[in-house]
Amino acid sequence: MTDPQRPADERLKALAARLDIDLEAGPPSGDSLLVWQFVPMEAGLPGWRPERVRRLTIQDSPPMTRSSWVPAESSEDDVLLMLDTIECADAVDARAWLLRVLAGVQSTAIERPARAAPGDVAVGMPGGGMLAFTRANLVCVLRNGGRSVRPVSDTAGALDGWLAERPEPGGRVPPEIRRAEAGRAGPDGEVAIDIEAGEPADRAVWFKLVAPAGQLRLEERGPVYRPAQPGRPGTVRVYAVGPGGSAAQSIDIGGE
Amino acid sequence: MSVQLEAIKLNHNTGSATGDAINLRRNATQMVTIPEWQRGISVKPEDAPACYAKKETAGNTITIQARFSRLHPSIKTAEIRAVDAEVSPPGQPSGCLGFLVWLLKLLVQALTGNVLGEVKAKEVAFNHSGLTAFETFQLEKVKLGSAGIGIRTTTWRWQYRRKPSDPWIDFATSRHRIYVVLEVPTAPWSQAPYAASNVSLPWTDVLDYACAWAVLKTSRDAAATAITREVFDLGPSVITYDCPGGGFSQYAWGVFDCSAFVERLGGGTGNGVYVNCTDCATIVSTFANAVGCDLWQAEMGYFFELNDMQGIGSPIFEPVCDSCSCGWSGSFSYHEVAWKGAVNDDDHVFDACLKVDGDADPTSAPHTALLPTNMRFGAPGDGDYRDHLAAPTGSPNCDPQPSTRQRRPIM
Repeated sequence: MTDPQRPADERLKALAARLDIDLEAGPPSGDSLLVWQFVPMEAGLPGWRPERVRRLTIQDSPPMTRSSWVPAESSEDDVLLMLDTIECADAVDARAWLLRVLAGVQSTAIERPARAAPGDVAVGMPGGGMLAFTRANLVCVLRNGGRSVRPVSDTAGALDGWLAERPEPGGRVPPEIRRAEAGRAGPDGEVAIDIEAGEPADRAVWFKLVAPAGQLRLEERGPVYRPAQPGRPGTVRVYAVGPGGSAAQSIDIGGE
Repeated sequence: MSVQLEAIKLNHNTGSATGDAINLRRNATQMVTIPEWQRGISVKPEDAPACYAKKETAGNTITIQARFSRLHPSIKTAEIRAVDAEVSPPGQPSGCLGFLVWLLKLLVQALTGNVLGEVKAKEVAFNHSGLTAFETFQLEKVKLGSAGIGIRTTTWRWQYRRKPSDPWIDFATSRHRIYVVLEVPTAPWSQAPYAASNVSLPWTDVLDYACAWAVLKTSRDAAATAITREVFDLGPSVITYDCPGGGFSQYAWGVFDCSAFVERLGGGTGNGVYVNCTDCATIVSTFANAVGCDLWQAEMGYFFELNDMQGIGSPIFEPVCDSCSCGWSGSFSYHEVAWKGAVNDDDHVFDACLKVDGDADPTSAPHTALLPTNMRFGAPGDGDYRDHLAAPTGSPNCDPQPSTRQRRPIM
């Protein structure tokens, strides 16, 4: 029996070629961004309010969320936005998972959007009814769940902006970062990042980590920073994002 | 009343389904508690559900376990039995009216009536605290062998007497929702481990639909066919093909989001209105396997042109999604259906996602809508499912993909 999330390599390769997705490419240029313990929130999907947000645990898959959203202010019936997110190890892993997601699309018309595409890599339907993109290590899939179909591209753009931005600390009820520490460097120079945060109303908080140099990666033990060169000092900026605001703290990772 | 019925276990041996009910849960979060029936708690039949597998119980004596209490210390022992509370009283009308009443009752009995028969009388002893042990009782007049798949109600009128010469005295009534399935549900459903953590124990929330959809069916093929039809007929009111999203799986990517689908069936939002082939294949095979069928989900492909079809929820025959202005039409990157067997040309498929043109020339109008049920997949040119679905140019690329055969886990 095959793993449902892992269609045959040949098929994925063919799909990658068809969609011009380079599976061999390295991480995106610029700062390294890592999303951890992601929870979609209204701030990331302006104009929508959540109907339900679930964290899914699927064997042999990275952590997922599945959420459904209805228009925040209008009373339109049968408008429903579905958002799935998959929290992968890094941007390269996210591209591979994006392809696995797209292998579950029956249409032969999916394409790379011509312009203003969100994320590092984006693929969608020509009519705008579905769009999937990666931003750093996160795969996001937006699609319609209601009979009144809305193009999802604007919402995808807003979500991507929310993921990528470096938020100013503060807000109405910001979370509090209780701990943000670097562990001891391993033999290959990798450093585990230990983070803990709380929120006044005990609501969900997610994290984004930004490293101007080096690479961030998510492992089972949590976020890991790998310096550009072993022993080279670096900085990781940690943002905690909650429904009422955000907090930030920097971690200096010392060299030898 | 001198005796009370305290509790009944219909599934009293969680390691076997040959002489009692199978292991069940209600849904992903709730178990069916054992004893299923408890005094003061179980009122409606659905409060005390149980499911019996026809194949595994065939030829065996079915037993239940029940516990009683006495209200008078003078009662040391009692003979206890339960009779079918729905058995017709004597003195029915005669003539044409009588025949019609008899026919109607027969129909109602076939659809919903008691299949567990009656509880054979047995003497039980009360301990010093006034309780009996969970005593094992044999059932008699059981009709599981002749019954089809269904959801039945058993209502037992419990009676006791202190010695054989005494008249029977009614002391309790218990009502049970009884699901009858062909065989112990096959994967992704499982019977072990019998634990709250095992979400693969068959769900009554699924049996409520699957047994109704396949009601009275006595074979796997007939049951799978009926379920495929019912799933297709959920369109357009409950689900419809995902043209806007390009045919994206909303319920079965990786695992079957059965909780969301059941919610949708019950009138809730679920994961929305749209489904694709993977969803339909997973729904059909999972619900059919809940009643004892043996189906798989597997793909065919890849990238092939299609004949006109009628997608689930669509009123018309057309190139797939042609009328929705969604930007695609005429071909699939892959397609997935419910399969019997090893997923080869000779194996048979059940496709609730679409109707094909079932006439001799599926490449052009007029179209004769045919829902593919138990249809041989076939090689190109055989005139089977493959040729009805795929255009002649696409048929060679529409190969069975046995390596994709699976039964998605449930959540």
